[in-house]
Parts: sequence; C-alpha cells; structure tokens
Amino acid sequence: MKTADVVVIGAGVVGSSCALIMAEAGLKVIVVDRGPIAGGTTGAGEGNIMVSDKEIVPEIELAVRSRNAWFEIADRIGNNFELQAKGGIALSRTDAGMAGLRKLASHQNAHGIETIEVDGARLRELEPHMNPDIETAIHYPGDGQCQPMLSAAYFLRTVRHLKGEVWQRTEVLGFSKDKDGSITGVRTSKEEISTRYVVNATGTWAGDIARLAGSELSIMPRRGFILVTTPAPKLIHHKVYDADYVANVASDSPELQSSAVVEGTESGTILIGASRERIGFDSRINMAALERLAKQAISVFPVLSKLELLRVYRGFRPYSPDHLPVIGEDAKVKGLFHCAGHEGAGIGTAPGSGELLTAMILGKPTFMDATPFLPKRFQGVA
Amino acid sequence: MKIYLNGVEVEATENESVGTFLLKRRQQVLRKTRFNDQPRGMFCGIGVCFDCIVTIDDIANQRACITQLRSGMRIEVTS
Amino acid sequence: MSRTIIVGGGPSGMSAAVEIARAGGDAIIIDSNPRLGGQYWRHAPVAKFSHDGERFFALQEEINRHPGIEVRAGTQVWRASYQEGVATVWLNDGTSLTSETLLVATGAYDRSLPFPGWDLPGSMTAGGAQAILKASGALLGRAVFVAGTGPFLLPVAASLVEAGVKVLGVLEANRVNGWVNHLGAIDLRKMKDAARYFKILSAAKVPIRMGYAIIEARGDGRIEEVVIAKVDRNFTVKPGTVEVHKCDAIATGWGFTPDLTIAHSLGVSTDVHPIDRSVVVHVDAFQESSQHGIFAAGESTGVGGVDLALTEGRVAGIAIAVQRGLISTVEAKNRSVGLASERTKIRKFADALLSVYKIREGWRSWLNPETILCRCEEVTFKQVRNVVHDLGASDVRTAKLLSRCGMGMCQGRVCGRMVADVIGAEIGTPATDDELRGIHNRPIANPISLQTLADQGQ
Repeated sequence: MKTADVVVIGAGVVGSSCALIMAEAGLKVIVVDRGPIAGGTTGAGEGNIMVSDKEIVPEIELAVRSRNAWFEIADRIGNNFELQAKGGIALSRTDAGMAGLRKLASHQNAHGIETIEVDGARLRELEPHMNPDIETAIHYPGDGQCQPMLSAAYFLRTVRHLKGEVWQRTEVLGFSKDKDGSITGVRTSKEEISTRYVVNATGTWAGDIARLAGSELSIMPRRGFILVTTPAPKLIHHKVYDADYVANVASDSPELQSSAVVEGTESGTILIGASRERIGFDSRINMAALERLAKQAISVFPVLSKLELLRVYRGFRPYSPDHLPVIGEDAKVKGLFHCAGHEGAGIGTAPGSGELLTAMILGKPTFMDATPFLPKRFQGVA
Repeated sequence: MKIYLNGVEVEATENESVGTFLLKRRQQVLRKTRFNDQPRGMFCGIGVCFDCIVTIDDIANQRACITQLRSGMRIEVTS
Repeated sequence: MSRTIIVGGGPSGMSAAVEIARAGGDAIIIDSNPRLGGQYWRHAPVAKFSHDGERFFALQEEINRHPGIEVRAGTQVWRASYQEGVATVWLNDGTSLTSETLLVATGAYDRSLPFPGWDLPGSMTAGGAQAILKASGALLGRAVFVAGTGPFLLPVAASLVEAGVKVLGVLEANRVNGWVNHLGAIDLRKMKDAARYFKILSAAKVPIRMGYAIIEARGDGRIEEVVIAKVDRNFTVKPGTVEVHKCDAIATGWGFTPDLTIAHSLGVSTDVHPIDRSVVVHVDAFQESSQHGIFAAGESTGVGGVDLALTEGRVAGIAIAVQRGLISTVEAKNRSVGLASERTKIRKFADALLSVYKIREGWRSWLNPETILCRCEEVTFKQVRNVVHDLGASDVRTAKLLSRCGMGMCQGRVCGRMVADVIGAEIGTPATDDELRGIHNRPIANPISLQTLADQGQ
C-alpha cells in the first residue's frame, strides 16, 4: 500500500495548484485522476485570471491573492504556461451601463483591485482597433491570462520533481475511514493509498466524490463555449468585455443573453467567449448564440469582420448553489477537503484556493477569512 | 481582367485559382510562417492543408488553392 | 419534403444525383470546387481528359438535363448537424439547407508523412500536384521526384511527364511483390491503366525504384535537393544507400484519408478500417449510415477508388429514392442489378491494395528532433516527445492540446493521424479507435467569416 500525506483527486488546474502548493510545503502528494491531465473543464477554458469580474468581497479577496500567486508561481517554477498580465477593459455604450461599471469599479477599488477609468484617446492607445464609438471604459491592469492546460501540466511536473506522484487514468473507488469516520485511505483502481487528507478537486464531478465518501455536495455543470478565430497578427491586446447585452432579437430567452469577452492569445488566435460570471449564459451550442457573439465581438472590434471562425469549444463549468467556490473540510467526513465549484473563475482563483486548503490542512492561518467558502454552508451544519 | 498583387496591377485570366495563377508566375513562396518565419507554398492543392494561405481583399488566411481569381481582386503575398 | 442534400460533387455524389433524378427526385450538390468531378475528375473549365472522360461527361450531361438537380459549386459546408431526423448544413455563402435525406460524398485527400524539409515550398502532395495540373495546367516544378506508396503515384508521374515535367524518379517505398498474396483480387481494368502509365514512364526513361523513399528535402527557402534512400520492409533506411539528387519540387503521397469531418458532425457511427486504421462511415447494404436518412458513398466509407465510388453512389441514390417514396423496393431491385456484387468485388480489390501499400512503422526513423510534424502550428517531433516524456501527456488528445499539434487552421487534417501514431509510439500504446475517431471532430468544418456568421440571424 502506498502512503501519502495528501491525495488530490483531480488533475485540472485546481487540483494541480493544490498539489503544487502542498508539495512545496513539504507534503507528500499523490494526484489521482480518472482521465488525463487537464482533461475536464481546464481543457476548455480561456485561461482567465480575472479580478475585474469579481463583485462579492470574499471573491475579490480570493481573486486578488490568486492573481499575485500566479505570478509568484511563475517566478518559482518558470513561466512555461504563457502567463501574462495583459490587463482587462470593461466597457459599455450606455450611460446606465457605464454607471454600473463605475459603481462596481469603485467597490472593487476599495478592496484592492486597481481600476482606471479611461477616455476615448487612452482607449485608442490601449486598443487601436476598438470601435471609435466607444468613448469610455474601465481599465483593469490586474487581469491576466495563462494557457490553462500547460499550467496544470507544468504544476504537476513540479509536483513530480518534489517527489509527488501523478496517477492518470486512475479511478477513485472508495474511501477507508477509522471508527470516528475520519479518512484513512483512498481505494483506487490502481492501488490503495493510505492518507489522512483528501482534496476533492474534481470540478463538475465533485458531488460524486463527496457521495462516495458518504457526504454530499451540490456542484452542477454549466455549459459554456468559446469561439476561436483563425490566427492573426496581434490585433487585440487586453481582455476586452462588453457589459451590454445584445438584446435585439425578440424571441431570445434571457439565458441566451450574452456578453462578449474578446482577447488575443500568444498563438495568434482570438478568443470570443462569454465568461462573465454575472451574465447568465447557459445554453447548448446553437446558431443564435454563435451569431450573437460574432455580432457583439465585431461591434467592439470592427476589424474582426475580416477574420474567420476556426473552432468552437465547449466546457462544463462547475458551480455551487450560491456561485461561490467550495473550499474547506467537509462537515461530515473528517479529512475530506473540497476545492471545487469555481465556475468560470477556476483558472484564476486556483492558486489562492490551494493556499487556503494547504493552510487549513497544516493548521496554519489563512490569508483571508475562508468562512464564506466552507462546504458546511450547504451541508446542513451550522 | 486586372487584379492587384501586393498592390501592383497585374493582368490575369478568369477560371484560375489564386494558387495556380501565382505558381505560373513562379511565385512558389506564398507566405512566411507566424512562429519561425519560414517560407511556405502550396502543399495539398485542394483546400485541405491551409498552407497556401494569403490575404485576399483584406481577409487574412484565405486558401489560394481553392479561391478563384476575380476581377479587381487584391492579393497580398509574403515572400 | 425538401430535396436531398449531396455533400460532394465527385464520382459518388454525381452518380447518386443521377439515380435520384432518374427516379424523379430532386437534389442539391454542394462542392467546394468550382466544377463537378471531385479530385478524380478535376478539370479545367473546358473539360479535357486524357482518359476516362466519357463517364464524367455522361454523368454531367444527365445532371444538367434534370431540372431537379441543382449544383452549387465553389461553396463550402462550414457546419452540419442532425437532429430529430433532419440534417442541416450551413454554407459559407451565409445560407443553410435542411433535408430528411443527405448523402455524405466528401471523398478523401492525400495521407502525408513528415520528413525533414517536407514543409519547404516545392513540396506538394501527389494529389496536389495532380490537382493543379488537371485544373489549370500548373506545374509544381520542372524537375521533380514522385514518392510515397500506392498505385496513385503512377498516374501522377505519368501526367507530369505528359505535361513536360522532368520526372527524375518514382520512388515506391513498398515492394510490390506483396501482390502474390492477393492475386485473386486483381482488377483487370486497373491493370490496363497501370500498363498505360508504365508505358508513358518508360518512354520518358523515368526510373521506377521499388523500396525507395524520400527521407529529407533541403534547400534555401525552397526545395533544391532531396535525400533518397533504400528502405527495408518496415520503411527503415538501409545503411549505405543514401543518395542526394538535385530537383526543384517533389510530390509525395501515402495513400488517402477519407474526409470524415461532415460525417462526424452528423453523428454517424464510424468504423476503424482493419487494414489501414482509417476512420470510415459505417453503412448498411443500402449505403445508409446509423442515422436514418444519412447516407454515405465513395471514399468516406473506405478508400476504394472511382469505380467503387460510382457504384456506391448509385446504390445510395436508389436507396434515397426508395426512402423518399419515389420508387418501390421492387423497382429499386430492378435498378440495382449487379451493383451489390460489383461493390463487393471492387472492395476486395481496394482492400488488397491497402494491404500491399500499407504505411510501415519505420517511417518514424526518418524524423529528426527538429522535423516539423504539425505544419500549421510548426510543432516539432522534439516538442511532441517533450509533452509525453516531460509533461506526462498519456493520450493523443492531451499530447495534442499541450503541444498544439493539430490545433491549427487545417484542424489536424494533415497531421492528425500521423501525430496520433507518433504519440502512440512515444507513449508505448497505439492510439485507440476512439482517439482516431476524435481526429475527425471538427464542429466548424471550414473557417467561416465572422461577418457572415453575425449576419446569419438577420
């Protein structure tokens, strides 16, 4: 039987961040995934490291710390995952929309997020191809981006170098517990691992793992998709998002309302997504949504009318009932720690989540009050 | 008919693809790759490989091999 | 009821359209080429064929004569879907079509193998060299080598010779004595064709070298010389056989890959071919796929050449006519006399060809660490090895996503299969059937203008 200090279930960005930070803290880590590295939601995201779309205070604190942690990790292990502090720009072409953005910016600013309101001239410097009818916007220098799959792969590479192990294609079959109900081991399709701590970083499947351990957790999948254009020379420099709904088609259901996020990548493709958490976007791939995103992206960057759609990819974003991540020890099963439900923000907030969990497991102080993230809020325990 | 090759007016005939038109002008190199700046030309000739991509009428990444010449067309080639 | 959609205007699509028209039905043929004929009958605006033109002209004449058949040439399908018995295809002109019956007649394209320098200008696929010549008389070069494997190399070399190109050699990597095991399958018509090609090549004194391959192309900005070598039965280079020759272009072909992009989008079941492991549409005796109303014919059901495509196209066209209530099953039987046995016979011959002209694993020994595998994203052999051995990628999809192999504009059409084989070899487990199927997953079949897309809803 193998022995580990911690077994992390899930080899996505969230699991690999936890594993990295725990391994760096001197813990012997085994990462177990039923599939390959970054085979789930991580493989279908833009790599958002965003502070600009966070509204609730705990979420802001987690995002700000995580954002800095990303760059610290890159300093420690090398930036092999296209991490860049590209900055974000949030815009609206209505007075009401801008008023909303300003209000949010001042709230975020009060909690440590740098926000700069920019005028048309400055906007043109930041984004020369932006539609001239956009006269003002909020610039968020703190927004960043990475290549999420490479990030997970390089984090796990470091974990292996720190004597950790990564078991791909290994299913978790069950858990062993002592008479108090505390975790003592993980039974896998490969072999059993003796451990006192388990991190459940399985995203949309986190509920299944919780059930397997005799508890419960409500994490649901929400479908999202991203359009990828054919490669172009650098046209778009920031993560640019339009806060205005395109609501010009009468028959559309509210779920179809989308808010385009447009950005360039290192490889030259441009991504057009609708990843803002507060915009209810929940639909299957359908033509109306594709048309809508294309239309909205072109309205922000008319130059996009000269480009072509190359690919579309889909992912399932895990979300909890209150849309905040679930980070902390299970209320019923001692030793089982959840780290899931990050919704569209999992890439960005993974390192901070890993730091919180590592501190909890080691019994050290956390960098923020993690109470709002604890699983007990859904587990019927006061 | 007239077309524009890198801004220069050129005589061309109809019923010809951009790719074969350029090849007949001994323009074997159609573009430079975006990472390593390496020359590329037509490879599959039937629209599958996207190696012969050029800018046509301001639209980037158009397959020369399957795009038919049209009067007044503006073709940008890097060689 | 809306008319049948035929995706692909090559031999199978044309022959299916004719059968549908004969039964009094209507159909629309979509093809990205400016003219009907597919790769086999690719031709200049005024069609002229060195041989086998009669069958094309007969089909074309019949298609033109029937008002129920529309040909939309020069048009690409960028997306296809199948829901509740209805197929929809979206075209790059911004329109879309729906129908209860659709024929996948999307053909095949050259299978390529990488070697150092295969990305240099002047390096084309055998089919590409043939296509530009047929369509407009364009020549890939003046002094060329034709190399790879398969009977297709001969007509390509012969047509280049006829066009005045100096063909410096035809290099067939396999040894053709493999035929001894398949004598029963030999197709006399094909043998006659081959004899004609040999005659042209020998008159031009073109050396045909069995068991040889191009293992490297070199040049400053374009091909200036090639390195060729004798290879063993596994395609591994035999020491001491390396030769360097001046040339200005090469045409290489390693058989064909069925184009399954549209079929995959329609959700049809596919098989992995037992001989060459290519992914093909699974069809029944009537060429109908697992999805009701979706038929497939020609290379998309397995590479088999023009005669098989014509036969399968006819079977599919007749079956579509029955399904649409245009003719009775009795009438269909009358129209189908001999087709099923013809199909079986040609398929047997095609499979024999696949066995003889198989790609052998030793080709990977031609690679060096800097050899480009993915032309679009310029991913090297070394980088692919790295994601497997350093980053822990343990399957084809992960290795592709981490290395960007197959993530470029061709969406893995050129490198997908070959990279799957490389990754499988590096991991130590061959790509699974589902991994091979995954190569054909391209929900956006062809790039579509964002402006066209944005305007769709209006």
